[in-house]
Amino acid sequence: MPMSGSTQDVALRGGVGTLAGGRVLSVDRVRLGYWGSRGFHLAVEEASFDVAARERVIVIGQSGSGKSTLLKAVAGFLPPAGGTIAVAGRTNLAPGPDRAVVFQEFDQLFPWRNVLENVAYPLRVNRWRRRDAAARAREYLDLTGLSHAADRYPHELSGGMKQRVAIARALALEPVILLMDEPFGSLDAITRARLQRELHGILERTQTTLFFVTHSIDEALILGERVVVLHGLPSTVREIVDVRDVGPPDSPSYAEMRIHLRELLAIEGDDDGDA
Amino acid sequence: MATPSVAVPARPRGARLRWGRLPAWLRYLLLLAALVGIWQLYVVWRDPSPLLFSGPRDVAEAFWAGWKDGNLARVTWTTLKILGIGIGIGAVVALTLTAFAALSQIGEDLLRMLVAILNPLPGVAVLPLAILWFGLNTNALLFVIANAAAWPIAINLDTGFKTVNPTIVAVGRNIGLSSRRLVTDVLAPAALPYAISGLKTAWAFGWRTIIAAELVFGVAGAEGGLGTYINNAKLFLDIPRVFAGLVTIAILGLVFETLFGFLERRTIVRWGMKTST
Repeated sequence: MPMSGSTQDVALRGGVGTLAGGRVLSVDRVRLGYWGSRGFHLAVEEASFDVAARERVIVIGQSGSGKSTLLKAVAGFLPPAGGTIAVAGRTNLAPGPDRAVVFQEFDQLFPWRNVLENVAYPLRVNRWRRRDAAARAREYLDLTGLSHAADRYPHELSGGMKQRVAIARALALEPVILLMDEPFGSLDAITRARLQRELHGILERTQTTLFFVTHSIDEALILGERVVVLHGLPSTVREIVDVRDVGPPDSPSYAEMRIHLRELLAIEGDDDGDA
Repeated sequence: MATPSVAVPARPRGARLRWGRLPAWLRYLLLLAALVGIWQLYVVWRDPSPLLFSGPRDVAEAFWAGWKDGNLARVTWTTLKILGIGIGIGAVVALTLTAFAALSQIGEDLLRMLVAILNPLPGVAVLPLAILWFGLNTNALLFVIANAAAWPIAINLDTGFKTVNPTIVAVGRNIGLSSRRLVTDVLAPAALPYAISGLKTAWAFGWRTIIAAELVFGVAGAEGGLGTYINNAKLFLDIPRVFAGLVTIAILGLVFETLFGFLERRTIVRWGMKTST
């Protein structure tokens, strides 16, 4: 598939206003690895998939399957060893706010900035005027239910609230595609379930294009529209599953899909790492 | 043995609590008053030779007179000025070396080696050489202080930059920071706890070094500092003035301790990067 010019033009800024059906992310025969102490370590053998505008795509795989490596490559932190990654038609990917990332770690906030400043500062970096940046930051703090904590410092927040701030910060940048690397992986089960529901609601409202990495099948089914299953070490894409119509978690179709994904991931026994 | 254990800790705990409930400034004031009281008692009881020891009253008078006629203020200002410039030079040297160390392996090796060689050296130890090189003047003092201050600052800055949380650097790059702003807006504040700690050590080292240097070599340059003041007072056997100089040093130590504490509470303690002062 020729990469240049084939993608429909997607405006760099404002994931909301982009063309419906336009391809925002295109991963084409991508090979990924990194240099370790024992030479080159191949994490992803070959992966190909697309993410359309406003679509929510979840990459799922067991630990070591290279799913985080894939996200790092899309974010521009790691150049692919082969193949091409195109975001809105661009293939020279340096890290940038058009692909805002929410990480798993709680300490991804700037400790010396309060909650409002943590959300407003990245806007300021991207040439927003002070007042506009603050107004936009407040808007997104409202959206994530953090208005009451605007002047608190990160160390005064719980883990769940810190992740909310990180989500607000990423959303406020209105990225072409929002990247999330197991953002709820360090949370307790109850907070995680609550944040999954909240995030789902927010993404529905903002129509954000999502690229989300997790090892949890339930998280993938709750948040995703399509699930890319990575399998093997180094990994390949085993299947891309449409999960739009799985129904609520207590429905038979959900249970069926869950079993299907478990089989794809080749998980033995009852424990699949979900809480 | 087990049953009365509930009642046993009650009394000492209650006694401690009453002292602990007083505000901090009052606790320290009371302790200070007690120390001065013991000092006064010793003078009254043993009546030491006024050529060897002074009581709190004489010292207070000398201290007051010294500040009133401007002599103590002048020498204090001289010392602080040289100290400030010296630490400033040391900080610039340290910053340059750590930047070099962050950029290249050879820079890192150089920093490690220089720190290993020069940090354990007491600051005054290089004074004889400094006087040979610069003459008996302020420049010699500045060299000695810069040398005493540079190494603790360099060690701390180096550790500070090396221990910056990589996730926060990734976030900085992700939101589109240029390399320059990544340094000023992310790396610098992230390394601030270490920078302050390095500055505190440099201040303490520099302070000891300058007083020692002034004491040993007497007048350094046209103007004398606090060490010179103490040394001169000793030459004239004006013991209350010796003590007045020492009290000034002690008070300045307290003042700067308070200033550093204030700075830390406003920054790294407030941000949760340091738990307490």
